[in-house]
Amino acid sequence: MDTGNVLYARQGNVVVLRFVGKLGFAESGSRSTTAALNAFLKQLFEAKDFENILLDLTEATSIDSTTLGLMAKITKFSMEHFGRKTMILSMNENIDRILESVGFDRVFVMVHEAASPCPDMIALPAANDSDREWISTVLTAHQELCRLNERNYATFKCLVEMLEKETAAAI
Amino acid sequence: MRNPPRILSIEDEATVRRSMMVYLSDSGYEVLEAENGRIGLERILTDQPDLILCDLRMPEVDGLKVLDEVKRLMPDTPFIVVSGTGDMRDVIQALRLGAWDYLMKPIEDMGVLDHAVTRALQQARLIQQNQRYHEELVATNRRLQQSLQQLQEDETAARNIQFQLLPQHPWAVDDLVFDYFIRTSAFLSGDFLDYFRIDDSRLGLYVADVSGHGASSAFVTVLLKSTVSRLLNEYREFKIQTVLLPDRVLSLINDAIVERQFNKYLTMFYAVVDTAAGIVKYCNAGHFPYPIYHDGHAARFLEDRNLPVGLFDGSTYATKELAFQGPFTLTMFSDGVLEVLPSDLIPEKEALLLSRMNAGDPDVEMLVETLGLTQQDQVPDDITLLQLRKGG
Repeated sequence: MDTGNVLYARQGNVVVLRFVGKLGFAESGSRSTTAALNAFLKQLFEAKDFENILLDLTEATSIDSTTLGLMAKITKFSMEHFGRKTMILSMNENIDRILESVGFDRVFVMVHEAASPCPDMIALPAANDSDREWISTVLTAHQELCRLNERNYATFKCLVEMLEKETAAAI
Repeated sequence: MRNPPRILSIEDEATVRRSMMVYLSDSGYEVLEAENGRIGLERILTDQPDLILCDLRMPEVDGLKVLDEVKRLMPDTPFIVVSGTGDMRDVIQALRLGAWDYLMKPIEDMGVLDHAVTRALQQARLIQQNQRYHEELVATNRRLQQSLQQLQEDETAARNIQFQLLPQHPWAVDDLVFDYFIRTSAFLSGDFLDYFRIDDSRLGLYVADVSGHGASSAFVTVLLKSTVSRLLNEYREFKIQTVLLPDRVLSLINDAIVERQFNKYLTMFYAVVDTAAGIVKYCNAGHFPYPIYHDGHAARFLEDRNLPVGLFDGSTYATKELAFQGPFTLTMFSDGVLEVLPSDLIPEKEALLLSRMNAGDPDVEMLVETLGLTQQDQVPDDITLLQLRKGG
């Protein structure tokens, strides 16, 4: 089984996040992974006790748009608060293609390197989102993607509008 | 960590180095420079910086080698890599080796450098603090361990003394047999007993229960033993009669303990057996349960109520007498025995004890057996049995 998983480690000023396997919305089990990542980032951004985030995608096999949106959130926060772009490690051509397609090569520092910078990592604490929180996670992730460039906006406009309606209806 | 913290920049590009140093110096840091890895390593050893900024690509000794050395020599010193964008794989390698952060050259915004340095120093301070707490904790623990060991050695010494003071048993003399059983609850016993020949026809015995345990209780038993042997000597050498008179012995020990302010007291039963006259003279200073006298037909308590020894200045005691003709046993208990008897009421426990003695006039070994004194894993109080058995 190739369900997605996210591990993390802390070293000096650097927080390392490693994405493993399929981080896909449609994949079974990855909703909880995405929820855990979202909760972790929320906490991290509140604590603000780091200087740098490094995304290790060397063991990722695929990434969905919600995860891409969370990644966009990460580099945006890093640039705003620490004046740095987030570094992405990747060795997978498919992943590279996906990242380039949403223009991430301009907002991240892309490094092609197979070896992980951190051998010892631990799993993110589990988070259980309610449906409403889940929708809002997906929505903000895609809003983030849309803000990056015109092409993303065109790609995700429909989804964002639909989710916005659903959120408004729920409230 | 120094105040202000000392920062070493190892960088072969002079302009990059200077711009960082000027900025950090203006921010209040003490700054040191090294133009290559070799000089950098020397300065690390001589100047012990609180934080190291280090380029990766340098002639002679490169940044990864410097990092390797720093991790070996001073693993908790923050090490921040400052590198060109072309060296990204080396940056990853540096992180793998334990670098704290990495900055990209050229550093366009010096605020980023300031931020990274501040954060790293903050973390280093926390690590140092935790280490100090840990060391203090370890040191305190070691001191506690030592004093505990000291205490244990003291108690062991006291315990050895106390056990050495106990008489041999069983002890057969004339047609009498003395025997006892002591089971201690804590490391040190508060119970003590002794028996001894006074002259051709007379023997003395006592059983005592000192309040509390520990070394000071053991010292009280030493005092008991030495007081009684002094009285014995005085009798043998000068015919001073005190040791023959239970009430006098108890009041003498009472005064000795009150006077010395031991803050300890004891219950004590003291008796003198005169085999020629067929008389037991005894006095009980608060010792409970009462001794049980078995005349060969039936057992009964020797009820005698007096104040314990060592509580009140000038306590007086009265000696009682008991005449015997044939065989008899006199059995004394410490109150610890009550704790193991299967009842909640003291009168019931007393009745139980008496019925045990009535059932065949058991000796010490049989009593230990029928009362189950060795069965429980732990007893709440010391348990002592002392028995004098007269045959014939």
